[in-house]
Amino acid sequence: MRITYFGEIADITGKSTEELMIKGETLHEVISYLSSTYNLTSNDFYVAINHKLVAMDKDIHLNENDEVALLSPFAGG
Amino acid sequence: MLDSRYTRQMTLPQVGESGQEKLAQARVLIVGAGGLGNAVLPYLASSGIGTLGVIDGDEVSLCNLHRQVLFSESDIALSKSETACKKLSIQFPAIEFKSYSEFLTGQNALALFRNYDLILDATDAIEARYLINDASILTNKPFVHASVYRFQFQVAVFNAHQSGSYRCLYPLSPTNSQTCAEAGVMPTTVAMAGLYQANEVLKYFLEIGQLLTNEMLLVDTLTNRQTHFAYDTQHHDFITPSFFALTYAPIEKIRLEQTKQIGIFLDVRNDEELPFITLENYLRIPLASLTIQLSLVPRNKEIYIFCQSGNRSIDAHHILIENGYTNVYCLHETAAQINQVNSQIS
Repeated sequence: MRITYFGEIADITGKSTEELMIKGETLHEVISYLSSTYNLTSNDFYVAINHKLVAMDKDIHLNENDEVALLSPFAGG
Repeated sequence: MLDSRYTRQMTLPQVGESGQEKLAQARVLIVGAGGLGNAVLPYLASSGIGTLGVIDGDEVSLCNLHRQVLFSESDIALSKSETACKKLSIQFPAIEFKSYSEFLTGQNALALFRNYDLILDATDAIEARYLINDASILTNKPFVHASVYRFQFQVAVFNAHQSGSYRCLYPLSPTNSQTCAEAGVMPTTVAMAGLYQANEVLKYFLEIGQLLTNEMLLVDTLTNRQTHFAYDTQHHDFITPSFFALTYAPIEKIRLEQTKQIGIFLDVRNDEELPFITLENYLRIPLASLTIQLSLVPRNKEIYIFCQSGNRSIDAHHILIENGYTNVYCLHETAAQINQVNSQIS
């Protein structure tokens, strides 16, 4: 499953994209991976699955071909 | 009789004389005369938008000049909104420019928005975007948003034809976000973001094409990749005039040296955050727990709030005011600065 990072989130992870190799993935498993790997908490980002923003309180099952994106509001202008 | 300067765009079947007349009647308020404002303004003026208001309380500085191309070295320390309007009115004498040399606040936003047909968010702070959003909802005005982070930008149109709002896209403000001053920005990135905004404004008034409503466009200028993100829309009934007045009430700030000993120093940082502060009448309640632990905060004393950077203090200030507290102040000093003052005294 491909995960893409935008804006400040990409700066924190140090990459703009990566392939996740988690078996039986759900959204909460991905969030817990982000927390343990990058010290990101769900307050730091918003999640889009296949280009649609989703609420993180629901645990959503993810398929291998799903595109997950992490983004946050930008401040600059 | 329309000016022949618009002939080339009026030749477009999507514009024509009737479209040009719509632009001439349009009134747009640009909030911010920084990087985005400088990109948007010349093109909205050159396209013939009849009235352009510009609000910005800031002054021109040398580090602005690389991306705020309406300004020159001789403009340094002058009002951004005044200077931009003055220059553009020479180039576009038929357009009415209105300058407001002040920052947008909860006190001036609603009255100002009512004089315009559309609000353009050219600010560089996320808090300002919630203010613009909520004032747009209360005055029923569409607003066109853009924001920049390094080589990427986001664009969206909110509150147009019953579309979603900024709060539908981003229900909560993030704890930390960097501005252009902190993160750095290339002039071309912010200019592109501004031109996307200007294009959405023209489409809105001309009623052509597809607006970026109920979705946000994120552009990466390094890869030239564009991604559209859809989001669910929600009606935010809680945005009422009284909510607005409370949320955007002026924050009373106070310096440590002006505080009274009998007041309460409320630290809203999380328990593990350093430095630890030693103060008389010190109370530590993390922001996330403040609402449920309000009974610990005395109502008959002055409350001085502080945190790590000042952002959470403002949120805590709102929570206390919403809950009927009256003598509430945010400290100018951060936790680190208070610690420094304390260590100098001891």
